[in-house]
Amino acid sequence: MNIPVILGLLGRLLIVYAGAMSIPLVLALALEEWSRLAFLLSVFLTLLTGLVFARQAKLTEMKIGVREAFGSVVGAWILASLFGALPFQFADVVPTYIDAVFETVSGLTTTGASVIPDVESLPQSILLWRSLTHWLGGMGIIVLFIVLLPKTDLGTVLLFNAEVPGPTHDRVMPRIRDTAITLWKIYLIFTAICTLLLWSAGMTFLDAVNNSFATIATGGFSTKNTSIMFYDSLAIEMILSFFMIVSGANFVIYLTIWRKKSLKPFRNTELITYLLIILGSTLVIAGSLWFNIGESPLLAVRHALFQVSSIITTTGYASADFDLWPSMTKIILFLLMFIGGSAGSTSGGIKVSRIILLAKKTWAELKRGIHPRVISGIKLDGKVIDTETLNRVGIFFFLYIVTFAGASILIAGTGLKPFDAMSAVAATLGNVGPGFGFVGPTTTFAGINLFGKAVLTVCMLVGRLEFFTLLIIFRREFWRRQKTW
Amino acid sequence: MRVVIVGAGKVGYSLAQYLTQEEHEVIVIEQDEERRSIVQNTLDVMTISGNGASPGMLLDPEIRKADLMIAVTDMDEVNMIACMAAKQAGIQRTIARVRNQEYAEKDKVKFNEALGIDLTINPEMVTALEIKRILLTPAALDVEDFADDRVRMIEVKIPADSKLTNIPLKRLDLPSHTLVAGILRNDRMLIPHGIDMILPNDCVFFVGEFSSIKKIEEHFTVRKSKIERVLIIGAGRIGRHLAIMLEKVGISVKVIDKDMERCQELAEILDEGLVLCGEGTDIDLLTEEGVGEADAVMCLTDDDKLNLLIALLAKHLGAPKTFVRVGRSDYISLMEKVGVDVVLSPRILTAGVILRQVRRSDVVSVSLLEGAKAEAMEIIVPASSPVANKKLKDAKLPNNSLIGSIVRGAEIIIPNGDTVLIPEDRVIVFALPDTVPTVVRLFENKLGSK
Amino acid sequence: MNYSLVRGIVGRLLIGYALTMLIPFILAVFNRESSSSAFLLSLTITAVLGFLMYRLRESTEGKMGIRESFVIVAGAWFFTSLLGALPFWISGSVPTYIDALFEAVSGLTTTGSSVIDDVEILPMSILLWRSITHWLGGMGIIVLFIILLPNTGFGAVQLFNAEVPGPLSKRIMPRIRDTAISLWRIYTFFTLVLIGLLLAAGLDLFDAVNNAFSTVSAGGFSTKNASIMHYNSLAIEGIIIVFIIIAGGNYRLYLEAWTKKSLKPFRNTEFITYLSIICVSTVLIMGGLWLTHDKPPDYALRHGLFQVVSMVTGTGFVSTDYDLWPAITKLILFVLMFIGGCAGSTTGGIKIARIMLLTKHTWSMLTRGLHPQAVSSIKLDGKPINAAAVNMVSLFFFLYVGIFAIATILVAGTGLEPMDAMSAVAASLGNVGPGFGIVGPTTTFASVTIFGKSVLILCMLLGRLELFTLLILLRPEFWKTKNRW
Repeated sequence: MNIPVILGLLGRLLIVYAGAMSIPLVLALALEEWSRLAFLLSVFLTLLTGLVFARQAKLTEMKIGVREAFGSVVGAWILASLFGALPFQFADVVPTYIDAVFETVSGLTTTGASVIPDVESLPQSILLWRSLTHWLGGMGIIVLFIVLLPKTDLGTVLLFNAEVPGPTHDRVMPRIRDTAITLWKIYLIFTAICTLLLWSAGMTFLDAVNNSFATIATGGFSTKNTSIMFYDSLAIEMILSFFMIVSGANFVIYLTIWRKKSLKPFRNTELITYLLIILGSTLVIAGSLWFNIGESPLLAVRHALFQVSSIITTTGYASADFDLWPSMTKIILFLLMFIGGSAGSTSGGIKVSRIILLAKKTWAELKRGIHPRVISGIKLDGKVIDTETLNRVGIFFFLYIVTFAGASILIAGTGLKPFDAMSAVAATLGNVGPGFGFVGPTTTFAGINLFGKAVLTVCMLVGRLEFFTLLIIFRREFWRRQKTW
Repeated sequence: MRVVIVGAGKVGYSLAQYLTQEEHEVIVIEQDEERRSIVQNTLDVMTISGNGASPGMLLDPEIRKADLMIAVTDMDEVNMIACMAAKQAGIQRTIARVRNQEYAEKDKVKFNEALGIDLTINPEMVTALEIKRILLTPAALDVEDFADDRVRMIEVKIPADSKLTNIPLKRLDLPSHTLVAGILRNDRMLIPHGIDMILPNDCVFFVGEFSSIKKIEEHFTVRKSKIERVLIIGAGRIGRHLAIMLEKVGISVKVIDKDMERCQELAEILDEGLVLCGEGTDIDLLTEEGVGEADAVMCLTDDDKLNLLIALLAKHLGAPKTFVRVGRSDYISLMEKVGVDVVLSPRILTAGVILRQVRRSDVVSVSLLEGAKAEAMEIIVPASSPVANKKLKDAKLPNNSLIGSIVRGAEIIIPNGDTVLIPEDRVIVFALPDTVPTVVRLFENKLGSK
Repeated sequence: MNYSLVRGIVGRLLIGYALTMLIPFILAVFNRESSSSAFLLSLTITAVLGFLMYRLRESTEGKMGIRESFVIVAGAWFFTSLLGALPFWISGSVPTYIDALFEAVSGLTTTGSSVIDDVEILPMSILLWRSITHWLGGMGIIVLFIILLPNTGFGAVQLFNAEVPGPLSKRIMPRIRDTAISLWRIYTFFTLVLIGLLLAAGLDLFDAVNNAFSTVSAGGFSTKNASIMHYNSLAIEGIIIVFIIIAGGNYRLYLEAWTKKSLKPFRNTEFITYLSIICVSTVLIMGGLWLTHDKPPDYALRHGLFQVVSMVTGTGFVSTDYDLWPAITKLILFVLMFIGGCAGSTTGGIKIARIMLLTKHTWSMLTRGLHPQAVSSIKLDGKPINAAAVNMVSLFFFLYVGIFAIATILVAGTGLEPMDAMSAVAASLGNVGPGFGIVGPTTTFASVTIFGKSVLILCMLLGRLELFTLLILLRPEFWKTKNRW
């Protein structure tokens, strides 16, 4: 592995990151908040480290292979988490640095699990920085980096594939960089529209910006302690539901529509399944709320729809305290945490397309039970999925569940009740945010001990980078200097 | 007419054979010395050794004089280039065998025009289409459509208890606008006259207006069961084309092939159809997959012997209808004798399509029936032909030929002796091979012939 | 499908089944218990039904295809469950027929979860029948049948494979029937040894026989309300621990060791992993008990080990009320329910061999991440496992988790708390027995609604037949008659 190259790349990324950090700095200066010093210091530190790293290798000499790509992506996320935690640490809004890192990782991975019990007392700049980490992490740090760097033969394909979630990566445009730029453009447009709508629905401008960052990135950090419950406004809930569902779908679909100017790309199996899951879960939960706890049907549908779209897209907003809901609805929400949104979206979880592929493969495998010699090809939207991809999907599922089980045991070791521990892990692994009980919608993760927070931080990163990217660095070959051995 | 055939493979050889029978001048170009000498020694043709696609070869004055170039080597691209070069060299019409369906997809016409190909022919596709047509007409052993599908000809095996037997044809009560065009009895083809009778176990060719023929079909359809389940053995080109086509019309298909890779490829194309990897001769596999419950079994492997064996096996296990693809057309009658229902030779089918081109442009289509024991031709009557504006009984048609139907504008006429042929009529003529040249001459455009 | 053949075989099987009912009947007559008439009636019904089915076959001719073998296995389990429930129902031990069915299925699938709150008031014959269902189901009804039928001409192989799926089945003896006989011989041998030991430890004959049946089959029905807690004897617990561990090992190993008279077969990766899992879990649980609940180490070891082996093998015996243990130990036990014992044992769950294959597959997948062109093959005990088998395993895993998720929603819908519902389903699917909370070690499944019980019955059967055998019946082709080819 070529360490200088990775450092050079990461250095440049940190410089960009420092640029992003100066946005809340400007806000802090403008509002004359006490957090401005913290931001100043953080920007300075990030920039300095970036410059030092960037000197390690010249842009023109960089050759990025498979290892370097994985190394850079993992490195980028780790550095972004560590440096992004600085403002929280310096502004002293969290007790320890681990808490600060937890908060940042939770932001960057668009999880939205917070350790700050009272966010309303925070300065606006800190709130903006939280939302900004969502927004940067949503489309991916590396993808942003690809956009901002002019040079293209930097192994962008490898970098892109290592960061963007989903079982397959369709190329819509000939160059990755163009794809990345267009994706960011769409992302920006959605954010802008969402901001405007929220603003007109009665939020203050800063709240609207923060909430739309958190929504489009399917993050879930809110500027209020009681999340969306605070507003108790049908309009806001509907706007947010709509944009959460939009962000949970594959952005490549929007890109194709943009390019081809036709609505045909919407006829996509994954998208339809995703919408059907939302519809089905909403109806079942609304029914349960109506019958079991006697909410009026309309209110039940409103709450059910918001919670379902919030959980399946792994945003993690709450418009009602779903921890008090009947057991079955909790289990359904718990499962939705695992399913997650579509591939190529900003959401986390296993992803709908993986579930579809596994289900199709299983169905085909049952066919083999009856016709032992049958040969079958698995198709998704008319495209044949090769065995290698299917294998990866199967293994991904296994890894997801095993990681979930292992982490749950560790978290339960810190004293959480079994179901609370499981929901905490599921919510972080799926980048959702709040879980049930101890880490429920009205509480925060502050009560978990440091060890537990560390475990959950790893879960968030693993979930965001979809296992393989992170796990590969555990292989010994990865660290060998010589390329061939 | 002078015809150049590039490639003396199976199709090339049979084409050369048919064309010499019809007294055309044939030049065969073949690179392989062994194959060339076989053609040289068995057929009355001129052979040249060399690459048919090379410009040098086409500068040969003998070849430049040709009217038609047929490129039927094993390679699509060679055939296409040969045609292109031939057009440049001044040969008027070109035919290329192109197997790869990708070349035949969208914009085929433009593509071919640019290359200078007048007709591309895909033998496997032709065969698959033929099978499909026969399958969708369950009572018939063979089906041919003429005049934009307005006139249809079917071949039906007459059951022993049929009411149509032992009655002279002129007294036979057939639906209007239909006619008996030929009878195959003891492997010999008869062009019937009014006094002939249909005997049990004859194969009879009916021709007539589409809807009326449907009635005959229904009459012979034993049970009103549509074809719903088809077992295809052999996922070669024919098998693949066929499976895809049948799946599209909603027939449930199972395909068996022993080659894993072929199976995989097909499995990726098919949606509902089942692809199984195994030996077609494996009785266990066949029974497990319900060969007896299939409505038809297609034996389409590359091996004639294997196909026959599988067909007999399938028959033995209860399959009601078996189709066999043969490479050697000599086997056709033998196979039909031992119980195979339909025997198809891609070579003969291809030859039929190509012959249509070789004969004058007035001949719209040619179908070779029963392994070329008879031909059905669709011809447009030219104003200058010897038969135009004459009553049929005065037209001096040869004895072993018959006009099955006449399509005049929107009207379909079943002719009798007094019917007059008018220019621009489309006539469907049945003829035994020996009378074909005479028939063609009778309908020739006298003015057009130079 | 050759229904005639299916009827003939299932009919004969039922006649054999009626004979086993004779045993509790004789006991009932001997003890002059009120349940004797119930047994007589059930016995007659079973025998008559079997005889009718057998006589109504048109011919025994015909080949056994794949479909027939699946139908026979499914049919055998279906009928033995329905008819095995009769004694419970007719004798009035349970309130409804569904309860009786639950009890019978729980017995046959060696789950061991009961709906009878007070077993100590039951007549002895009923208790014996419960244990006998364990013992019959443990090694497999069909496997027993293969032994009893002299003519192995028809598809014994298919039947065997449909009932004993396992990821890797290799043949030790040339004939399936010989294998089956040896397996039963070892099974009987273990049972007899255990009965002897339990007698020596102070149990009376009746309890010894019943507990031996439950232990060797990894079942879990006890003759006491408090399960093994009742005896509170270290000796008995020690003996049972050893035999539960044995029951969770692959019987092929014992068979090989027996035939080859060497201990070499025990150097089997799966077996070693199995023992390691037991050790590690015990140590973790001991730690949990010792540190967080201040239990003395000897208590922690004794009960920790007992509960671990009881859970991992899906037996479900209880030596103490683990529902009061700390969260981490509960979660470990919960995860163990999923893992299960070795392939080819009498246990339920996913099976260790499958987990190992998946882990190895994951590892080789990571190699491919670094070396995209790498070709690798997965080996277990030096033997390469073909790719199709590995794929099946990952689909099995997916199906297991998927079914678990869906069943949990349904059971939670009947009003159980999330964790209770999850543990109830996991315990049924893994053929374990008790779960946590309302279905915990000191309670029974009696309070679950009829609907919930039906779902759990299905789970037990699915788990016992390892999903595919039953799920295959869902494919439309399976039932295709001529019209649907």
